Amino acid sequence: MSAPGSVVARATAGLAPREARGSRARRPGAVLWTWLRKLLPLAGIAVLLALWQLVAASGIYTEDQLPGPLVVLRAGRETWASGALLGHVGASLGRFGASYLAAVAIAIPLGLLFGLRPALWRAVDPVVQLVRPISPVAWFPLAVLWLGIGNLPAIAIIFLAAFYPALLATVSAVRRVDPVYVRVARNFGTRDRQLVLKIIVPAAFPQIAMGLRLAIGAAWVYLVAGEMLGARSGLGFLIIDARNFLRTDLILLAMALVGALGFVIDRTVAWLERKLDARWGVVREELS
Amino acid sequence: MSATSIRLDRVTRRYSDRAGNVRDAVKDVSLEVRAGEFVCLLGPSGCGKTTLLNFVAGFDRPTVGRVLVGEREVQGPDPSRICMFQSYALYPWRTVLGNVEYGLEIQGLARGARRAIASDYLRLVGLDGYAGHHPSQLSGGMQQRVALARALAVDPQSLLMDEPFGALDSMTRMHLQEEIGRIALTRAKTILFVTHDVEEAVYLADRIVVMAADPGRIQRIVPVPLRRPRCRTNDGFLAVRSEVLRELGLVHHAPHPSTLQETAT
Repeated sequence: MSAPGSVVARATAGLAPREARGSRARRPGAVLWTWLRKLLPLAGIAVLLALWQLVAASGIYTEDQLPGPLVVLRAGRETWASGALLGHVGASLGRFGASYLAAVAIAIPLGLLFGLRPALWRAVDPVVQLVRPISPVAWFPLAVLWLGIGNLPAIAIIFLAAFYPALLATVSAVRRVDPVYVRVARNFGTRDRQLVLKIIVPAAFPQIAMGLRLAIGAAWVYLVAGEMLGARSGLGFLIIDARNFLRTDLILLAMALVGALGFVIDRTVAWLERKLDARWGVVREELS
Repeated sequence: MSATSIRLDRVTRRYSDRAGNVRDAVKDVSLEVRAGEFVCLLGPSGCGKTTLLNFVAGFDRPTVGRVLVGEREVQGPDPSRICMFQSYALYPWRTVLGNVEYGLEIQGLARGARRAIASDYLRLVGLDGYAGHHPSQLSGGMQQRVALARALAVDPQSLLMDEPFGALDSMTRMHLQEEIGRIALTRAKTILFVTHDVEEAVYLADRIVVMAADPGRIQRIVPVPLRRPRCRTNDGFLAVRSEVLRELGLVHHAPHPSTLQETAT
């Protein structure tokens, strides 16, 4: 090895890494279109609001049955000013965060274990497949019976909704780790514990992260339902409470907030995922 | 570490396929590779080249027979025998430098020491400017060079290469062959190299083990008495190449003019 890599070095000196290649020149029309494309999602929301306003103003329903967006916005300002709204949102997010994190904290280690021990998974898999199709909603009566009313049943319902997707994603991610990674690791003398920490977990990570994102979306859907089981705060409680007082504007306000917060959570997680992917050197095929 | 000899002693690998038929991937194969020698295993797919390599790597064990490296029987994979794969098998979540450091990290070297060694080997393969990149940002040839640096960094006694350049374009492949040829020149590593590219084998090997399939066996061992660095176009090279092609049954008598015409129409 006297002349280290000189030939090879010369051969690749002109080669830029992939990221640096392939920037195309754009026509002005194309630039305009790119900007318009960015505005399209906003246009969709604008149309939804307009339709809502249109139906509300049409007189098909009374204002008590279907208040328009502006009425709901006013209700929002009022509840915000009283401080109640922030309290409900905070209660929901706290509850959701706690049970989601608990679900993930249990699902990932279990998933690793099941993924690494195929025999164990063969025994557990049918149980999971049997219990998983039972909607968290079906657990309501038992949840109340076992956990009483209040905070706990809501937390349990969200936990259930998040647990299965996180578990299954982890198991399948571990099972799909390229065997050649393990081979190389063994070749360099890697022992079991290091194999899990240095190879299995990072190799499975991108797929686990994708599962966690699915789990967060699935769990958020059940937040409202869970909070209808006797909780005294949160957006689900706000809906039940508003129904008892026939405040349709507050019902719609709570619904809109659930939607908006769910959207923000999903985007935040997607953003985090992209950040981590870059760190992990993962290249995902983008669907445009 | 200095190179060691490798000896396959009447190895057979038997397995039963899905239909339940018992088959021999390799049957009764004996081969001796001297310390510092470069041996290519060449043959059609299914002739058991990779099976033999996996025995030496310790990824698989023969059903019958023994595999000796130096004086010791192979019990499993070991950092003194590093395998390289066609798919590079780099860790995508690690940087280029992190990949080269991997083996040293497992051996428990301190961060500073392993970083220094890894950087040296990256420079050796001409990629010192890419230490912070991720493998996915590199071309195939560059990735395989990172894998080579990763293998060399732990200073193995032997390199076991399983069609390492099979996925590369021919120009890149030739550059990497030159690189490996330079390592062979030092005689510091015993190299077992699986390929189905005749020219590659003639360019690299001290001896070419021509194998045949069903069951996998050694058909003939062709010595390559050419000085390094080798020239791909001189008469000696072409003579060995024809000899190997003939052994593989790929050279027939010079085509008769009439048959040429037949195929042309």
